[in-house]
Amino acid sequence: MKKKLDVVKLRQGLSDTFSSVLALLLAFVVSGLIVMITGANPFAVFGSLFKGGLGSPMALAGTLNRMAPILLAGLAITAGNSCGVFNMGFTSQFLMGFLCAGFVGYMVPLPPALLIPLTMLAAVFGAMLWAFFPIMLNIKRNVNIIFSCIMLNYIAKYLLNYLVQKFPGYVPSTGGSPSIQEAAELPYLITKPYKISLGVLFSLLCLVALYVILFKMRTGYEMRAAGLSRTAAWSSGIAVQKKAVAGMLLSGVFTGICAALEVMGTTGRVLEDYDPGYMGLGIAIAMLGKQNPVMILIAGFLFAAMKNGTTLMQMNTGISAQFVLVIEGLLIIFIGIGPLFRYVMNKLNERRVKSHA
Amino acid sequence: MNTDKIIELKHITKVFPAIVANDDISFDVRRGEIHAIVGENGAGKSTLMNIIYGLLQPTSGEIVLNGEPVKIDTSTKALSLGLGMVHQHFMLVQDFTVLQNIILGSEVKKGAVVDYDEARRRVMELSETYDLRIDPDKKVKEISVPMQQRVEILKVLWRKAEIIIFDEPTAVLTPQEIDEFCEIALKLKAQGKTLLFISHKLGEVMRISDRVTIMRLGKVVCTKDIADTDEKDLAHLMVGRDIELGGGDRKPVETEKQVLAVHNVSMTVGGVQKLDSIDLEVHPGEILGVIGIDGNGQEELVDAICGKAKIDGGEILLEGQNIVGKSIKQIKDMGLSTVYEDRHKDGLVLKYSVRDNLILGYQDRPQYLAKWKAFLNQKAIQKNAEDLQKAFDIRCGSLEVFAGTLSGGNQQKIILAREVSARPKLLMVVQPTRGLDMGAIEFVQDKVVEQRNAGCGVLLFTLELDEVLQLSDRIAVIHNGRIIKTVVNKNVTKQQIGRYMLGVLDDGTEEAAE
Amino acid sequence: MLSFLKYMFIATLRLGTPIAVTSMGGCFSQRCGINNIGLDAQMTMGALMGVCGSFWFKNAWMGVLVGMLAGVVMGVIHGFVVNTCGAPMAVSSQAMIMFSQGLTIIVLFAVFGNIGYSDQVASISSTPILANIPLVGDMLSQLSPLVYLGLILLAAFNFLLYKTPAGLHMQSCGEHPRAADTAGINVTLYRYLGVITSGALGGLGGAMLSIGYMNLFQDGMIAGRGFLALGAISLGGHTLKGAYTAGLLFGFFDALQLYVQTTNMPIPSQFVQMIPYLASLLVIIFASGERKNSRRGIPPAALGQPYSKISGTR
Repeated sequence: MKKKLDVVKLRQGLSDTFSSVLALLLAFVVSGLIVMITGANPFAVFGSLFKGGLGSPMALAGTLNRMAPILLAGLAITAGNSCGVFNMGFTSQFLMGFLCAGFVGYMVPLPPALLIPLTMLAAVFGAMLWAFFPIMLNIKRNVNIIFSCIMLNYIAKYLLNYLVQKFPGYVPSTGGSPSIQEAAELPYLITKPYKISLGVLFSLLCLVALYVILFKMRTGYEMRAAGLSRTAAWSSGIAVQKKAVAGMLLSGVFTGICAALEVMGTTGRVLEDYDPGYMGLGIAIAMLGKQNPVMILIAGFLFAAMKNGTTLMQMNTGISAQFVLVIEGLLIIFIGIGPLFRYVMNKLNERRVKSHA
Repeated sequence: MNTDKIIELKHITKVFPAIVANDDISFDVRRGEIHAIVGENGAGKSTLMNIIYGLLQPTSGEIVLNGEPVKIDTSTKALSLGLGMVHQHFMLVQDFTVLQNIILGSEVKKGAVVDYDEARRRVMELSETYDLRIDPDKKVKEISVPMQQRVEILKVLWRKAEIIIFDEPTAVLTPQEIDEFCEIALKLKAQGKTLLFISHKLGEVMRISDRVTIMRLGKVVCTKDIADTDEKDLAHLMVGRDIELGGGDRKPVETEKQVLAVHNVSMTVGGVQKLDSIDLEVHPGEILGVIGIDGNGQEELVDAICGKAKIDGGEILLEGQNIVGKSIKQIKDMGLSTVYEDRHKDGLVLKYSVRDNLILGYQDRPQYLAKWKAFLNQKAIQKNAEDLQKAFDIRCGSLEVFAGTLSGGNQQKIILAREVSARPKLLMVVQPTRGLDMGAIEFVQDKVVEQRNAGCGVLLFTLELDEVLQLSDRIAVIHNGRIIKTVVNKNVTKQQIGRYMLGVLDDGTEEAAE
Repeated sequence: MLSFLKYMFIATLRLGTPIAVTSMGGCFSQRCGINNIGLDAQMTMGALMGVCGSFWFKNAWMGVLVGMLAGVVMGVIHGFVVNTCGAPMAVSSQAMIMFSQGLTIIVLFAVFGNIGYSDQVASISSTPILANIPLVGDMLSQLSPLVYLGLILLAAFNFLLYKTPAGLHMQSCGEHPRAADTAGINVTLYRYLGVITSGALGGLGGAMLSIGYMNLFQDGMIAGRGFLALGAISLGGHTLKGAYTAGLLFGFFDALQLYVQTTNMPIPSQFVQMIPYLASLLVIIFASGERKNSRRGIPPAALGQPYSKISGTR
C-alpha cells in the first residue's frame, strides 16, 4: 500500500517538475530570440547573467542575500493563493510595510534585540492593514479584488511619496528618508568568508511556518479547502469569507516581513517611488512552486540568482536589468500553458498506442 | 414492415484513456421509427449519441447514413446531414429569448442584420405544424422545464432535422408532462421523422417505441421489437442481474418525538416568494420524502434547514432547539448531516484526496485534532479513512488520489460515509441517487434505510417519483413553495402524487398560484 | 468658468477616449466569454509600438496600425493562455504586464537608444478640418481624429453585437459555449475574434495616448489605465455603451487631476496624482453592492470559463 502510494506521488511530482523545466527552457529560448532581434548576443547575455548570479562564491552569497525578500514575496502570494485570493495588492502592502519599518527603525531608540523585532512588527502591521482594505471591500461591497488592489497600489505609491517628504529629516538629494539607526540594521548570520544576512534565516523560517500552517494545522486544511472549492468548503460549514480574510492577512504578514528585510538589510531608508518588482517575482515563484516548499525554495533561489546577475549582465552587454522581466513574464506564460504540453504528450502517446495496435 | 435503414452503425468502438466506453457497437435504425436505446448510467449510451452527433470521434468503426458511409466530425456536419439532438441538459442560453435560441446558428437575415420578424413568423408556423405552443419573446429563464424542452425540439425542427435524438427527455418531467411528451413524440413520428430515444425509464420506452436496443457496459446486448418484450425483461437485460430497490427490510419505528419541526417558514429571494408558510416534521426512524417539480422551492427549503439561507419568518426546530439564524457549522454540530445534491460543487473538494475528503466539515472534531487543538491528527484521519473505505466499499486506487478522479458512485459513497459516520440526529439527503447506476443506487438506498432503522430521522428530497415511493414512510408534496399535501406512503399511486405535484388536489381544486 | 468647462470637455475626451475605447474592447471580449484582464499590458504595447510605427514609417496612422497589431498579439496570447489552456486570468495578466514592462525598456533602447522615453514622432493630435464649423469648430478641431474614430467604433460594434447574426453567435459563446457549439457555432473562432478585437482596441487606446495625445512614449505612461478600463466595464454594466461611458467618466477624473495641477490649489501634488485612482475606486465602491436592477450589470453567464479540448473543458 505504502509503496504504491509513493509511486502515485512521485509520478505527479515528476510531471510537474518536467513541465516547469520545459517552461523555463522555453522562456530562455524565446527571450534569447528577442535579445537577438535587438542585436545582442544571447549567449553573452545569459552567460553573464549566470556568472553574475552563480558564477563565484561571492556571487552565490549575494544571491542568497537577495533570496530572502524574494522568497518572502513568493510566500506572500502562495499564502493568498492557497485560500483562493490572488493578492495583486502586494506592491502597495509592501510599500506600507516599507514605510512603517523605516519610520520605526529611524525614530524609536531601542537596543537591537528589541528594535529589530519591533521594526518587523511595524512593517507587518502596515502591510496587514493595507491588505485588509481590498478583501473587506470585496466581502462587504462586492468590489472586484484585482481592481481594488491595483487602485490601492497607485494610491499607496503617491501616499508613500507624500509621507516620505514629510519625514523628519527628509533628504531631498536621495529622495528618501534619513538612514535608519544602526541598531535597526539587520545583523549578519555569518560574516566569513562571505557576508550572509540574517534575513536568509528569517525567510527560511517563514517557509517552514507556511508549510506547517497549510499542511499540518486545522486552519490550513480549512484554508486550502476554501481555496480549492469555495462552495464545497462553505457547504461543509467552513467560514469561507473568514478564511479569505485570514489568507489575505497571512499574505500581508509575509509581505511585511519582506518589506522589513528590505529596509533593514538593503536600502537602509525609505525611498520615494520605490519598486523592486517583488510582486511579479512572487507570482512567478507561486506559479512554479505550487505550494510545494522545496519547489518554492528552488524557484526563489533561481529568481534571486537572476536578479543578482543583472548587474554584471548590464555591465558586460549593455542589456537593461529590466530584461529579466521579459524572461520572467515569458516563464509565467509558459507555466500557464502547461495543459498544452500535457495535451500534446497525451496525443503523442495515443498515436504510439495506435500504431502499436 | 418498414425495413428501409436510415442509420447503420458498424462496429463502433470508442476508447478513452482509462476505459472502453463503446465496444464494437452495431445496430441499425429504420426510417420513420421510434428507436429506443436503453441502458444504465455508464452503459455507453451518451458516448454513442455524442459520436453520432459529431461531438466525439469513434476510435474505429463507421456510420452509414441513408446507405452512404459518412464521417461526422462536427455538430455542424451532423446538422447538415439532417441529424438533430435534444440534450438532457438543455442547450439553451438562459438570457436569450425563445426565438433567439431557436434560430441561433441559422438565422434569417435581412441585409446584414437578423430579421426577427420574419423568423418569428416562420417559427410560429413551425410550432403550429407540430402543435408546440410557445411564447417566442419570453426569455428562456422565465419559462418552465417542459416549455424549454419544446424550445429544444423546435430548435432541431428549425434546422430541418429528419432524425432526432432525444437524450433522457423524460428524466425531469412529471407523469402528466411525460404524457404530453409522448404525444409530441408520436406526432413527430407521424410527420415522418425518425426518433432515437435514449432512456432508462422503461415505462415510456414501452409506450412509444417501435424497437429497442439494450446496452450494457459499453456493448449492445440485443435489439428487440417492442412487441416481443416487456418492462421486466428489459430491466433484466439492462442490469444483467435482478436489483432490489427500496433499501430492504424496515423496522417499524413509532414515536411521537420530532427530530425536525419546520413551522410556518417563508422565504423571499430577490422579491419572489420561494417558500410560503412551510410546515413539516420528521420523526426519528422515519423517512420523509419531499417531492415536487424542480424549482418549486426544494432548493430554498434545503438551504433554510442547513443554515445557508435566511428565512423571512417561522421557526425550524432541530431536536426541539430553534436553529434559525445559526450558522451552517452550528447546525451541523447540533446533529444535522446533509448530502447535497451537487457532489462536485457542494459535497467534495475535488482536488483533495479521498482521505482528506472523508473528514471535510468534521476536521474540528476532537478525534481528528492533536496538539493544542490546532494541529491535525494525521494518524486518526488515516484510520478514519481506512475504516470508512472498508465499511462503504469505496473503490479507489489509494486513499491519496484526488476525489475528483473517482466515479460518481464512489464519490457519493465518500460523502455518505462521511455524513453518516458523524452519527447525525437528522440526515438530509438531496437527490442522493442522481446520475448513479443501478448497483450504486441500491447501495445508497440500503445505507439510507439503515440509518432510518437505527433511529435517525431522514429527510429525502428527490425529483424521482419512483424513488420517493420506494424509500419514504411519508411523502410531502411541494408545489409553488408550499407543502400542499402530506400522505402516508400506503396505497398511493404515481398518478396521484403526479397530480399533487402539478398543484391539483383530490377534490379537483387547483392550488392558487401566487 | 466657461474656459474651465471647455478645458474639462476637451481634456475628458482626450484622456477618456483611450480608456473608453479599451474598456469597450474589453467588454466586447467579455461578451464573447473571455475576460481580457490583460488590457493594461495591451495598452502599454500599443502605446510603445504606436510610437515605433510612427517613427519607422514617418506616418502617425501607420503608427496607430502597428500599435493595434501589438495589442492583437498580446490579446491572442492572453486568449490562448486563458481560454485554450485554462490558466488563471490574473496570472496571465500579471505575466503580460511584466513582459511588456521588460520589453518596453529593451525596445526603447534598441530603437531610440534611450531607456525611459522615446524620440518625438509624428502624431495626430488635432483635427484641423473641423475648425470651419461655426461656434464649436475651434473646440472640436483641438481633438484628435482618434476621438471621433472611437465614437464611430462604438456605434459599429454596438451594431455588430446586437443586430447581426455574428453578434448573436458571439453572445451565445459568452453565455453558453456548449449550446453554441452544438448549434454549429465555432466557439473558438468567435472567442478569439473577441479577444483579438479587444487587443486591437487596447492597442488603439494605448496609441491614442502616445501619438494621439502626446507625441512620444514614456516608460510607465499607461499608469494602470488598463485596469481603470477594466473597472469601467463592470461600472458600465457589461454593455458596450455603458463601458464606453464609464471609461469617459474615469477620463474625467484624469482631466480633473491635470486641471488641479495647473491651478495653485494648496493640495500636495501627490494627492492630486491620486485623484483618478481614488475617485475611480470610490465610484466603484458605491456602484457595486447595488446589484438590484438586474437588466444591467449582469456579466455573461460563462464569462472566464475556458472552452477548449486542451484544457479539457470541451
